[in-house]
Amino acid sequence: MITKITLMLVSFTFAGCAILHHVQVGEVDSKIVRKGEKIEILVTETGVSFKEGTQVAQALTHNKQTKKDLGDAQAILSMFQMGPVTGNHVFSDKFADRVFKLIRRKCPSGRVSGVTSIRETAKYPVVSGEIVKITGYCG
Amino acid sequence: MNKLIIICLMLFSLISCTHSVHNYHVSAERFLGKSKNKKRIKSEAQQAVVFWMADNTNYVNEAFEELQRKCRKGRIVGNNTRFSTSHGFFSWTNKVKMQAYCVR
Repeated sequence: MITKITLMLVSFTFAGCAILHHVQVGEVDSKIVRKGEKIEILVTETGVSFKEGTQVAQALTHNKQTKKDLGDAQAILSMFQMGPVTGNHVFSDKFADRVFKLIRRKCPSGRVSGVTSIRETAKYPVVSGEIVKITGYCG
Repeated sequence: MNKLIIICLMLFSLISCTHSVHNYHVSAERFLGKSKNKKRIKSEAQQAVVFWMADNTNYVNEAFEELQRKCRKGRIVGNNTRFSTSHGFFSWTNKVKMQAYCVR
């Protein structure tokens, strides 16, 4: 049991990785890009993988029936979470909307160019960071 | 005990809806400046999908047209677009939300 927990903790420490889903570059005004100040906005939300959560719970139990029940529960749960997924499931889809206000706060002049929109995931076992990152230049 | 776990998970899934944000795009906002005649506008449209059958395939255009309607006599700048999905029981809703400034 202790070995299993130790192995899990080790995997938690080393298994983090970044996954890029989407990147898009907007209009570039070379004057703003050359002379402007670089800005970076990052918003994140915690994502959860119910499948991996079930696998961890199954690894922690020795009872075959409990393992089976956990698998069944996960199958039922997945029926309530159907649809396309980018990264892991999150509990709010509004977390990225903050970017709209943050851009104005970081660049009050309103002259933003060379905007790169990045959607990525910082992946760890069971949980993840669902990230929206915006970089650009403020003139 | 095991039944309790299943019931708890089912209740959890019924009360908590999960989402997925696929893409968020920010357009350049040039020459917005400190104009006093700018107004924040937003539009949202969605597509319901039940058993893999989609009902409204024009929802992105609808969101764009709504945004244009809200700024008939101005210029739309600094457009932010979010594309996400809300998950459900054998069904899901694809959503597009646009936020921008209308400058007159």
